[in-house]
Amino acid sequence: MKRNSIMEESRKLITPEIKQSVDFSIDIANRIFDILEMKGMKQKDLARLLGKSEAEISKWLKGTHNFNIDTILKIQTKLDEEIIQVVSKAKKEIGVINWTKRDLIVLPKEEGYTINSKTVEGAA
Amino acid sequence: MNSERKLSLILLEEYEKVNFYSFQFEDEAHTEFEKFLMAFNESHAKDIGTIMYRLERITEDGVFPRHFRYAGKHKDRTAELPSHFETANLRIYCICISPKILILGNGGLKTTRTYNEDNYLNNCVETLKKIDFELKTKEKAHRIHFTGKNITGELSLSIIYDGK
Repeated sequence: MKRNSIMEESRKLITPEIKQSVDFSIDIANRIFDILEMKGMKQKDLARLLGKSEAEISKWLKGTHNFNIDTILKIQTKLDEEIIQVVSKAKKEIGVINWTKRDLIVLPKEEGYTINSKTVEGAA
Repeated sequence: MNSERKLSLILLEEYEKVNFYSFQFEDEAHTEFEKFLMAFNESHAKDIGTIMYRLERITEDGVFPRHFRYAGKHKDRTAELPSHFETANLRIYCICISPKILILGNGGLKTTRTYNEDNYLNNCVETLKKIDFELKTKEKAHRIHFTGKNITGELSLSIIYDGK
């Protein structure tokens, strides 16, 4: 497979933080697309639910909108599906999580959180 | 002053699902995407890292709209990276030919609200739109073919370039 030396050099600038940030954003986008697909909904249905024009929703999903937490929460509420799940610091023990392949679970970085690997493998 | 410029499509990198192309003007030593990387590698390392990792994810997923923000009309197939989710001022413009073919162009720092307000960035996008138009014309005339990940046929083309 052909590789380009200048691109290879630029790839050295990819840090773990950059990977985390890009992966996170892709997961959010994929989750929204998946929910729409799962519910058999089209962009116009989401537009109706949110009281927006279809053109505006199209912009959101085509990538011309700067998503923020409020927007994500609004979509989450109207679709009645969680897009992002934040684990509270108070909950040190995590039980069985019924997640689908693209559910996004945000874990605080403190130590003491464990995920049962069998559950993860079985669910994914 | 307007002038005709000749360029060639160049295969940059091949992956299992996606091929990355760029284009090189006949009087230049590097492709537009290589020029972009060389110009910003040192001064904007984080933004370049973000773009490069976005491209890496595209090699896994395919060239799908969710990875880009579209510049101009969607039918132009001209888009920009990084997507709306990442915060960065550096933009690279490209043509999304198909889920398996991405043509990477040039770009720069976005300091205005829209790319149209910046002569240089606007020129980057307009160049891509002209190339896209030429590619569509050649495809209709069966002089160029987009087969799977590959572009074959006449890889040289001319566009009217305003040289701003």
